[in-house]
Amino acid sequence: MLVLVLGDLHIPHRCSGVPGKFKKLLVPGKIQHILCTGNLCTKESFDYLKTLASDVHVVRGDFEENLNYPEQKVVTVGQFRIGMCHGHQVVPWGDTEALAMVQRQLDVDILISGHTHRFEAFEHENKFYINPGSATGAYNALDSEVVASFVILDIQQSTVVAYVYKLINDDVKVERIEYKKN
Amino acid sequence: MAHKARLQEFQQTLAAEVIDMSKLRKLAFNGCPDEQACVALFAKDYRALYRQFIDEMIIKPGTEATEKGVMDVTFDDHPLNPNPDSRWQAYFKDNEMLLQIDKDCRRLCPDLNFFQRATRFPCARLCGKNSFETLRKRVEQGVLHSESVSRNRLGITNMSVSRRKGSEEFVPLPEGQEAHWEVCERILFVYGKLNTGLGYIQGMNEILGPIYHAFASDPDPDCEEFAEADSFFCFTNLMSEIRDNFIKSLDDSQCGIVLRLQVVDSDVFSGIPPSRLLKNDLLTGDFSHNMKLVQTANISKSQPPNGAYPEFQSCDSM
Amino acid sequence: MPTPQLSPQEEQEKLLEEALSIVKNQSFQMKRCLDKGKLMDEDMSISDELRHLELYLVDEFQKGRKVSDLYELVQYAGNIVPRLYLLITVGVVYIKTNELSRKDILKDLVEMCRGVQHPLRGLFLRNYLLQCTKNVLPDVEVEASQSEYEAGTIGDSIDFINLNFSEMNKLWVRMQHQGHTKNKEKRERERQELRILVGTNLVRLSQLECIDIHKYKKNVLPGVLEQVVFPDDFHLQTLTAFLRACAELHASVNVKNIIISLIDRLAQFSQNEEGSGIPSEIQLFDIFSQQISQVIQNRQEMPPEDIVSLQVALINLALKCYPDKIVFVDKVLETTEEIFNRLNLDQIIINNKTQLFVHSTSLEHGSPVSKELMRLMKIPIDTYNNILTVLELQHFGPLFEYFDYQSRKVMSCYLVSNALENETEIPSQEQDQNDQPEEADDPEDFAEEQGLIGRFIHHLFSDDPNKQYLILNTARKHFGAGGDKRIRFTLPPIVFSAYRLSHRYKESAEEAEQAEIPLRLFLQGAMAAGSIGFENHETVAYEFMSQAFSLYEDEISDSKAQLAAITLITGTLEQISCFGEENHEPLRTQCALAGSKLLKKPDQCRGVSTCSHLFWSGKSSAQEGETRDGKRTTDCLKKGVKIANQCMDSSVQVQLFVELLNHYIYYFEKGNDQVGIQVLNQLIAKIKETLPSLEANEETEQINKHFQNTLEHLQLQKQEGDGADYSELVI
Repeated sequence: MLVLVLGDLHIPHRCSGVPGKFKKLLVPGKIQHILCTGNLCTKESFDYLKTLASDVHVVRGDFEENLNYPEQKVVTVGQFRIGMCHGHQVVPWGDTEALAMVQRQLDVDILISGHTHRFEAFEHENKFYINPGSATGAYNALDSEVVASFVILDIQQSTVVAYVYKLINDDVKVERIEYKKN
Repeated sequence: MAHKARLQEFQQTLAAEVIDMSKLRKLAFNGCPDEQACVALFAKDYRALYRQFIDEMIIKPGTEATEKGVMDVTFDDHPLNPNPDSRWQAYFKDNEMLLQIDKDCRRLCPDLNFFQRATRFPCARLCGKNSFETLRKRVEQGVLHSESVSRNRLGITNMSVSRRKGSEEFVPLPEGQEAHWEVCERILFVYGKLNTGLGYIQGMNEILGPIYHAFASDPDPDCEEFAEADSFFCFTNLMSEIRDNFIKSLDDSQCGIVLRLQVVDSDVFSGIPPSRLLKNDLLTGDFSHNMKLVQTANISKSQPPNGAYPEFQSCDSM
Repeated sequence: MPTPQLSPQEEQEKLLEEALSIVKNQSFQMKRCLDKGKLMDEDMSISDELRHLELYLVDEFQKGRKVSDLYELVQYAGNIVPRLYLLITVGVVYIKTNELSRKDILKDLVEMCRGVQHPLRGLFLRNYLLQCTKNVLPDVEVEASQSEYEAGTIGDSIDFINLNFSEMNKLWVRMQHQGHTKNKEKRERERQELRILVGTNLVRLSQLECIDIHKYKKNVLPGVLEQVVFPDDFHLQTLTAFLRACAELHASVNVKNIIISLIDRLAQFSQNEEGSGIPSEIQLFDIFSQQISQVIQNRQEMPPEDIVSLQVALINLALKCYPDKIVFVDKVLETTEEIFNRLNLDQIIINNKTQLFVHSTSLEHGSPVSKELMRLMKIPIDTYNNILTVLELQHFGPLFEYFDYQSRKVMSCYLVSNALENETEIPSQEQDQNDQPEEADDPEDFAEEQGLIGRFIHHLFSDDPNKQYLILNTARKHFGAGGDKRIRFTLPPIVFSAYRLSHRYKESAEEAEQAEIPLRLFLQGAMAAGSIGFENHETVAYEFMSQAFSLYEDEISDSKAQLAAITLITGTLEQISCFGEENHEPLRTQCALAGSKLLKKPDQCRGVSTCSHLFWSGKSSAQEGETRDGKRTTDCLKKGVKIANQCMDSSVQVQLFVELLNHYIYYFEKGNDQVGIQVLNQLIAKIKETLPSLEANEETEQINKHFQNTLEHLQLQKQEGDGADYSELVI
């Protein structure tokens, strides 16, 4: 099952749109579900995601037009419980131990967060943490070198393979990381 | 003919080195006796071969690599690879066929509860632990089960299940189980993959359904266990005889479905006034062959049962 | 009709039969030939054969045969194609023997030929018709006597040829769409060969002696031009003369359509035929440009939208034939601008006369002129797909001014979305120098401009605070990327613009919701100022933070929003490292205070827990790295425990304890010496004691799970033992 994980689009606040090279790759009919870490900002961005897959899950970012998205969410994909949280509420931002507190509270196998605009995927105490970065490479006051990125999860029974798509020097680079549930 | 004598004759006919098909047909005209697996048995090799097909055709791309750590796969394969040679591209292409099979198998013989029930012999490669997802999940367009985390008036943070429900017509069976229709889905998928020229055509499910039902409800436990592999080969053999019926461009040719139906028309329905047939649109217009097949099947159900059309009766009793 | 002589009648029937069988035979051969696809040559031979028949028939009928009978009889021939060939042959013979019926027969024939709609066969048939009638077309003036009227006039001939021409043209055009695509190339080749047949009509037309210039202009040319399918290349050569003729055309003739279709055709032509193209010695654009302005001058009454349509065609031509010559496009725009100038002049004069004060002469949105002009201006945008190239057009901007507000907005959006779609980067600072007026009312456009000079920011002004906010946000992003040198000049103006904006927000902030955006903006501003080392950046950042605080205190009243805001402020402050101790200390204390004063107990508890991080990993410039104030950190958590103890609902209480336990664990593992193992043990014991007494429900289950996960974590740490010392932990 293919799940697209992305977030922090900040359209139109900080970016004019999803990079053309990403748009070319992201076509309907491949992805079954979308998990969005928030900061879609406008309905247009949400509608764009809807064109890629009908099942879209969003948590609320700090710059959200739609305030009805929940702060946090847990979705179940096969054997995996996946927690979603934008991350601006987790102080210090992007801190592994702070995120681990959220992981324990939500009781999840995988925690997806955003806000830092920096891709990250690592295993910590047998749990998997993913930050898809910003799909538009949106401005971040604290980081002058934001790389646009998103993640696709291929979820089999007890294995997750994360494919990371990064836009580096206008070229798409793909990496693969595997996580097995114990 | 006495039952025992019939049985004996069946056995003799089947035991022959070269089976006399016309004799067998005559015998089968009034249905097959249930006791014995009169249907020709398959060699064990075939079952192993089928297992191999499943391994080759249903196992997904990208799953073989088990290396730990981060790997650069920019020039290797990945799900959004636009390269036409990509295994992922082939996978998505297969999904298009699978989507149709999935739709058709979900509503296979809706009046029989059988196909919705779980099989006692699910495919171990796909349903066990550390296995691959079943075909059904590959094309499922459902909504993930989700819980929203919120804080109530008291300040308690809790998770509540979102009431958003997908239009789930069929309640999926618990993990590790699979329904008979899912087995049929797999058979048709493997057949479609093996016969790339033909692929899957709507109506094949109606052909496979009775065959699989016969095997999977056989009192012989061996037969039941290997119903999937056996009915696959049975189906394949049958298809090699009738595949022309599924090729639309041949519809009006010598070996096409239209001619066959005309033969059926003159042979079987000679007693029925033509107006009845016309009402069923059977032989008029240029609707697709599968509609014709479905219609024949429907007619078989709607005809008076009093032994007037034994072919169909025997069909039903399968 | 009774005939006195019997034998001739018999003879005639026999003759007829003979003729028919010959024709049938020939038509069979002809069909075969056509099927074979050997087009031209075979057709010629058929025509020749038929001509023999014609001569034979003429001979026969001059001897006194009844041709009218034959004319009717041949209509019974079974197959349509041979029937019509035969009909034409006989018809021509008829005309030759009896001039009087000429007009009717010609009309009849040309209409009958409609029966063949197969392009190829139709073309040959009509060609044959044209050839046969070559010498019988009436070529006399209208003024001729009444008796001659029956025989037709020059006007009939023109009609005849025009009709035939247009029908052939249709067939010829249809040819390209017929049949399988794989044969397309072959078909196209045939088509090219066949266009000469279509052209024959024009030749025939030119051979009519009675056509004078007046007739040509009034009748012939418009009809012909409607069908402009000239063999493009030779038409190119006669262009000037042709256009001059157009300019002099009678006022009632719709010259606009004629020219536009011709231009479009030539533009197409220049693109279709690779290699051949427009010969370089023909200044296509200049010719058209001159002639069109001539046309416009000659026709004062021409509606402005038509004038603009002409310009649209012209601009298309310029872009297609000379894609690299921006000058041409600009020239079209200039001409258009001049025309509008003139029109406006007229308008103003009228206004003066009527004593009306109408200042605005802008084009009303949705009016035909406006629509046409929009079409005109979108063409270069779509073709270049590069906003910079468009802006290079000197006359694009001035022309823009003729639109009214609504249209300007539509056009701006169009321009901007084009820029966005094509991801046009506006790379240099100089770009804003030749900033075009159309950008002024669209903030997004500026968003694309990287490295605007500082004073320009003050021009970025929108009535809508939200829009203004977006402008500043994007501007800041681009300046941030501009590097240190430029930020020195660009940041302060932005910062102050942001101040102004936030005050505007404040004024309009009647609902709390309105305060959310400026609050976030302030925090973003503080972070930006904090991370970019310009003069006084600490002051600026501090100003941003205190603005955020005052917004928090004055405008945000909803308890949920308050907790969200203070969490965000805390999170932001935790990241900023530019503050000296004298600034950082009051800020973090203010956070902690605000946290402890939240409306609800659980919120307070969570608020102070979050604030604890400021005293630990908060960074001030006074000391290197993080604050690491263990005492103040644990003070926050202790306060949290105190607040949790005050909670009446035991579920809430346990949940808060579990959360606090996690915070304590966090600091314990980070090495805060103020957090001892006994605190953890106490909390664990307390939770273990209370948890079983909770009502069994989903909530409790979740709290329990949270606690179990926490214990599992501790267990793991205790076992591995490479981090904090958990040896005395009691689980």
